[in-house]
Parts: sequence; structure tokens; C-alpha cells
Amino acid sequence: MSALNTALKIFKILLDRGQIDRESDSDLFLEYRNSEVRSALAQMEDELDFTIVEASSTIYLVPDSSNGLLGFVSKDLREWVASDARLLDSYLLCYIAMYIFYLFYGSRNRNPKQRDYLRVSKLSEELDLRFARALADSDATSVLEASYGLNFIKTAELWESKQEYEDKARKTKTGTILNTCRLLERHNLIRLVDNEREIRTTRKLDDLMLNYYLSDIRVEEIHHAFKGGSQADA
Amino acid sequence: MYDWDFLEGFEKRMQILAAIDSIVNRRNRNMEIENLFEYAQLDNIILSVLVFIMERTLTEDERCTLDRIAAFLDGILPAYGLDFSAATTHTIVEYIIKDILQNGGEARYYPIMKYGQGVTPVRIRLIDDKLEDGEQGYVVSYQLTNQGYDLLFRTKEVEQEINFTIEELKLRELIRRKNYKKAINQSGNLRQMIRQKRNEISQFVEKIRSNIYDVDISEFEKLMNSTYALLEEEYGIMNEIRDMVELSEQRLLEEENSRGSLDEEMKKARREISLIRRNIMSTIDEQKQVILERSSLSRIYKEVIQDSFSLSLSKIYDFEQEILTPLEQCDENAIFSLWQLLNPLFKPSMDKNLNLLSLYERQARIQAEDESRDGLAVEAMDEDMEWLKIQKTNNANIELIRALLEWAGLKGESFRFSEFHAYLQSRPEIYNQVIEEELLFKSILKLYDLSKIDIAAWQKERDEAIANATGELDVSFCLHSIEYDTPDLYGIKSIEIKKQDENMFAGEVIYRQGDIIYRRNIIFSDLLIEVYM
Repeated sequence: MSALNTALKIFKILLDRGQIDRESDSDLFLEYRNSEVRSALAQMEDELDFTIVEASSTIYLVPDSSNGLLGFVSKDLREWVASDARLLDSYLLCYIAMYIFYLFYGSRNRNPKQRDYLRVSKLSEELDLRFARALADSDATSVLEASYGLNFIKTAELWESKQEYEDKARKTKTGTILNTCRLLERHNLIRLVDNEREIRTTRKLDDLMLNYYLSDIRVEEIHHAFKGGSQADA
Repeated sequence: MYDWDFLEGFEKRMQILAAIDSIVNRRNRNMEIENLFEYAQLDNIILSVLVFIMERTLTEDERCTLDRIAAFLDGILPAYGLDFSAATTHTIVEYIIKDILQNGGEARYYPIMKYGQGVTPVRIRLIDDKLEDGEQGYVVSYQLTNQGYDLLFRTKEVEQEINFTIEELKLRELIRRKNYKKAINQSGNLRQMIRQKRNEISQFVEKIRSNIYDVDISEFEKLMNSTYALLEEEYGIMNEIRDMVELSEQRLLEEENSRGSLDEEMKKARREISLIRRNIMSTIDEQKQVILERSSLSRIYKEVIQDSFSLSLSKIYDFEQEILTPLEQCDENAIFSLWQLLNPLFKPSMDKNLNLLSLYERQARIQAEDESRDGLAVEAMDEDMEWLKIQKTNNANIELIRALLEWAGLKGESFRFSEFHAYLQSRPEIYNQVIEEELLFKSILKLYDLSKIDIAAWQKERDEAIANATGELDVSFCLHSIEYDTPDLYGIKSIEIKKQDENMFAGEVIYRQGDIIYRRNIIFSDLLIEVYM
């Protein structure tokens, strides 16, 4: 089999599953280390806007941030919340997801992972504090001096308007957190355990965070997204 | 200069103090639970739970789940004169395991002085958990960490370094003295120790795999060396003991053959010897496993070190500064791009682009909204702009139809579009709504297309009306909304819109959208609107 054929085979599996594990696909995992195969894959990476991230025993296909062809886009986020979801709902979902990542990997120590698990109730309390701080700030300061965006204040109000807990109903605070968690779980980033009371990260999330996502070479890319990013898809 | 040699290894003493501190000065105290116990009762119980976890994982080599710990706690509580319901016991176990021993999931550090190197924060973790995908969902089981074992062994004043040889010598001597009963326990101890070594290796492998930065090279070398020592020095002796046991069995067999039978004492000895042999065999088997695991540990360690080398060269950004804070300040344009933050972590999703079936899926509002993104970005974002825009268009259409019916009711006869336009201009509160983006002309053209608004027929057989998700004119929805305030619908039975002749309406239309003022010259057929009362 030529290097290009092998590279295509690897690419096909990566597209299908998102990852190749040393244990289950040891041959392909080893083939990836072949320089010719790597070079063929590198060309695909350039042309199709993705990166292959290599961790200790798994390789992952990671779409570039603005890659709407291989990746997940804004409307997918909204559809996940509900078919009639507003942009504000997807903003809240995104914030909760990022806050979960922050609570797990926000340490400034050599090892950024600062906890083994996170209770859903603890996350809800932390979000309460964070949103309450934003609301207090918006009451106390003028628009020009505000440290929070108007949209975030609206998101904080949306959060505050939700009931604390009502049988995990979708529109309660717990329901909103669980809905976000289920999306992350679907992408094999976290696991909800202990009767959906506890969040644990998966090996995939640890791998991607430590080997790619948190690397400071991505800072430019993140700034770009906050400036409005790609126009490819809204 | 004072000789401080006696402080060498001081940090090891402090590690024990740190471990005890994590129990006694526990954080995340829940006073509701703490108040259920008298002074120091809970400290005793926590240590008992640790011993139970050790016993469970080491001696019985079984999974130690919260349920099993709860059953154990239920068993020991009467010794303290306590009796709780099953639910309370479970809550207490969760509190002990998750809040105290695992510190609510957060890493707990204790500053420890290592003379010559200064104070370093040392992570204290007495138990570790393991997540397994069981038949009934995820199962979490608990086991002691090396720190946990260390604490428990030291609290019983056993040497930190387990001296395997001494244990083996004891066994050999016991067999020699035919003290088989004690020898059974002794062989059990040996098996337990080798199992601990295996446990250490597997925990270490997990530690390496989960995060290489948690692993200290000296820790790795220590484990490797102690395993080498164990294998090289002890493996031979274990075989020697096995030979001794076989010899004892042989002698018993010879005795049985010469006497014809064995007395009760001898039979008991034979049973005990066979038990010892079983323990020895399983110890030797486990030693073989240790040999294999040791070599795989070494391989994994090297690979992970190699893989993580590139990471250690790249720095990690401040998550709060680079992501959370901008997220809290982002403007409307950025909100449309937030998916880009999640994109690199999500699975690639080709299906949505290549799957033909998606063409046939129900088209909800979201798809329609995404068409007109540019229109949204110009407005100040304080809600979902697209949703608000559709609401606004729907309301403007209601006002337009209401004004049309009202004017028709006032006139009581046919009129031209130009007259209606003049009437609307006299009602700026309506005109300003309907003129934006030329809605008035688009909706009148839509009515011309329909040619007739048959109100009488609508009143007879109306369906439940819902707002048009795309903001297009929906006469039924408008009538439904108007009827709510004006049940007689201004007494109109029907309206017909016709193009009677080539008369044209020409006029200038001015409206404001945000900060921009639009000016349009419009030439439009002066349609005839016939009214039937």
C-alpha cells in the first residue's frame, strides 16, 4: 500500500471516529509515524484546515477553529438547545462549557488540570457567583465603565431567571447545565456519573487540552474568534 | 556550622503529618453531617474506612464502591453507639469519600520543607478512583494511593519499606518447624505484599497516562529499583519455599503409605500445607505478572516522556484571561463566532454536510435566520436579533391589515391604494412600522397575489393560527390577532385587490433604520381595493 493510500485510510478513520487509538488500531497508529504518510497527511491538514494532534497513545483529528466544513457551527449549537432556541441560549451554553473547562484546566501550575471531578451542584454555585458578580457590576457602573458586555449581562439575567431545580427540567439551572454536559458527553469530552451529579473529564479531553487546546500558540486563533472570526457560517 | 544530618529525609516525616492533616483539618466541612458525631468519632470512622478500602482492594482484590463502603459503615456504626437510616449512611459515606478524602475533587497541597531545597507544595491524595463502564452505567471504585498505604502502614508502626525477605524467612522457618497454621497467614501476607507491588505499578501507569507532569522521575526510579530488588532477590527464595512445601507434602505422603493412614493431626497438616502451596503458587504467578508489568511500565514511561517533551516546550495560556474574560465582554459579532471555541474539541462532523437526508429534515426557524446574517450584525445586540426582527415584521403586518380593515370600514366603499397610503401617512405610529424595508409595498403585492381577503369564509372555518416563522405576511394569523381586540373586524365581509387600470402611485418614502436614514422613490400600481360590508 502506498503512503498516500495509508494516509487516506488514516484520514478516513479520523473523519469517521475523530481518533485512532494505539490499542485498537496499532498498525495504523504505527503507520502514522512513517514520514511519507505523515507528509501526505500534512498536505491534507493544510488544504482541509485541520490538525492532527498526537497524544501518548491516541491521535486525534482536530478541525481548525473556523472550519465549518468538518466541524460544529453556530446553528448546531442552537439546535442542540432547542429548535426555537435563541442566540442567547447558545451563548449561555458556550459559556457554561467554557466554565467547565476553566474549572478543570484553569490552574496556572505546571499541570493545568486542577481537579479530578466536578459536582453539578458546585458548578451551579460557581455560575451563580460569576453571573451575580456581573449583574452587580452592571448595576453599579455606567455603560462606559462596565467590565462586562451587554450581551453577557443579558445572559446573566437569563441564568438568573431560571429556576434552581425542578426534576432536571430543561429550562432550570440544573437542566441547562445537564444539557450542556450532554453535548460535551456526546463528543466524548466528559462523563456524567453518579446519577448525573458529577462531571468527569475523559482521556480525550485531557489529551486535547494538554497537547493542543491550551497551548499558547493558539492565542492568536482565539483572539481572531473573539473579533468575529470567520464569516463562513453563523 | 551546625550539623543538620539528622534532618535528612525530614520531608518523609512531614508527608505523614500532611496526610493526617488532610483528615483532621478537613476542608469542605458540612456541619450538618459533622454534628451527627461526637468529638473525634468521625476521625476514627474515616481511618476505618481507609483501612476497609485497603483490605478490600489488597486482600480480596475486589472493587470497592460507595455501596460497599456504605455497607461497611453500617456494620461499624453500632460500635460507636450510632444508628442511621440507609440514606443518611450513604450521605455520610459520600461526605467521607468525596468531600474529605478527595477534597471535593480539587487538588489539595501541603507545604513541606525539604532541607536544602526549600518548601515545596506536595499534593496529598489518600485515595484514587477508577471509572469503569459497567452494565448499569459508569461505576466508580476507590483504592488507596501510595500515600494512603504509607499512612496506614505507618499508623501500625510497620516499616515503610516492606522487607520481603524477612517475611519469607519467617515463612520458611514456620514450615521448617511444622507450624503450618501460622505459615498459612504468613504465605497470605506474602501474596498481599506482591499484590501491593502490582497495585503500585498499575497506579503509576495510570498516573503517567493521565498526566506525566504529576510524575516525579525519582518516584519512577524508586519503583523500578524496588521491583528489581523484589524480583531478583525474592523470586529465587519463593521457589525454594515451594520446594520445601512440596517436600513436606512428599513426606506426608510417604508417612501415609508406610502407616496405611494419617491421624487427624497429620490430615490437618496436609490441608494446611496444600493451602500454603496454593498461596505460594499464586504469589509466584503474581511475581511473573510484576515482571511483565515492570517492563511495560518502563516502555510507557519512556513513550509518554517523549510525547510530552514537545508540550513542555510550549507554554500554556491563562484560560481566564484569554477565554473567560473576553467571553464575558464579547460583542454581537463575536457571539456568532463562539462555535469556534468548541470546534477543535468536538468530533468532526461530515454527516451534516454530506448527508442527503438532511435536505428533507423539517426546516425550523434557525435555518431561515441563518440566511440573513448581515442584517443582524448592524443592530445592537441585546436579544436574539433575528427572532426580534421576525416578531417586529409579524407585528407590522398585523398593524397593516388592521389599518386596511379600519380604513375600509370608515370608507364603506372601494378605494385606491394612494388613498390608503395617505391615510397611513396620517397615522405615523403605523406608517413608520410598515414602511421600514418597504414592507407596505411587499405586503400589498402579496395581497394582490391572493386577490381576496375573504373574512366571512375565514370566520366560518378558521384554524388555529400561528405566527409565520419567517416573518412573511400570513393573513390568517393577522386576522386572528386583530379579532382578539376587534371581534367584528370592522364589519368587513371581504376585500378584493385588483389592478383596474394603468394608474400609478409615485412618491418618496423616507424611513430610519438604526442610525441610517433610507430615502426611496417608489412607483407602484395604484391598485383598486374593493370593499364588501
